[in-house]
Amino acid sequence: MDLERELLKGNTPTLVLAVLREGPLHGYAIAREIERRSDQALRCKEGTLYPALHALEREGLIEGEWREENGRERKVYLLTPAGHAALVNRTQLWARFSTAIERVIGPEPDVLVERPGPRLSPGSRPEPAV
Amino acid sequence: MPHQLQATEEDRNAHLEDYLDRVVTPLMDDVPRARRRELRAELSAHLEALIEAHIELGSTPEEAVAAAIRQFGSPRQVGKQWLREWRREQPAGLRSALHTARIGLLCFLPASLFAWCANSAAIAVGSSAVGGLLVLNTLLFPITAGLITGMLSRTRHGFGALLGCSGAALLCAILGALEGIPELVEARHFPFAALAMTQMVFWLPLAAAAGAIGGRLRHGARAALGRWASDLALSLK
Repeated sequence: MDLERELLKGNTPTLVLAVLREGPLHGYAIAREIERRSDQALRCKEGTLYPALHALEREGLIEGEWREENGRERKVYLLTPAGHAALVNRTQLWARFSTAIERVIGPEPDVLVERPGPRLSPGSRPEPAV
Repeated sequence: MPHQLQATEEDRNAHLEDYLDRVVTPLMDDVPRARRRELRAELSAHLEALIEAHIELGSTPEEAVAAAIRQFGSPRQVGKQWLREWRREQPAGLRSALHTARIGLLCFLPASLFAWCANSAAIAVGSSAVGGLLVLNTLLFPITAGLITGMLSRTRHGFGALLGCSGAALLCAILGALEGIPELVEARHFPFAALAMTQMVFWLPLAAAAGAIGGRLRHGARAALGRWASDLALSLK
């Protein structure tokens, strides 16, 4: 669904920062951790993780370094102090935003609540309020 | 390794390399080779891990490669999105070209004024000095000015240097026409006058080529400086 994809795309940097809070990880491990924590609910095209990683690295919120792991060189990302601060800000922002959205949406709309009002026959116009 | 397994391994590597080529090749005009190589290595490691995970789940190597690539996304989209982020940290094309043009004018105007003075002095001294100095002007000054422009420029290619050189060359051509060429003609140094008239034509390609080389040198120097600084920081820790 396009809306879900857009929501995930916009929040990918925050998810990356949250995952890296626990320790340095490479791109593949970041994708797996996001899937695991979200119970498979958040799955994106994994190649799109790399533009987000590049943007975060450019902003100084993470830094990458090449390390050898199981005989293979991999680029691992670590959260910087600025990244920690950004994560705190984004978490607070997300909490405020999601609370506001929930207030507007209200309870889950699985039942249509019918409001009382005059029944109109087809073609008739409601009388103006006096 | 048995022949069939080896063929499968080769097919898998070819498929993977083909995917990576399609991601990285469109970046060639904008991204330096070292950075492209690094990105390719990073994506390759991720894809290899995905392929191994799919094989562990029971897929054949061909199915695993196809599944991993599907899970990774369209190579065009991956490359395009990465390039968009890369370009955000680079100065905008036109702005950097104009910045380079301003640097170019600053480099070329002194060079051309010096050349003009040198020509006038040579004409006053005698014909042998005029010939030598004109050849020197034609080659040395545009190359030096273009090289300096490219090294100070923010554009990776020589386009900005070309822009700067075009403006400076036009200005110098007017100066030369107003002053140097009539003097040469009056002194009957016709071949040198003809050379002076065509001088500005040579300046443009020489300066642009030197500007492009200067830009390359700048990128190489910046990368080397960055590596030196990080090595120094590591050694001080």
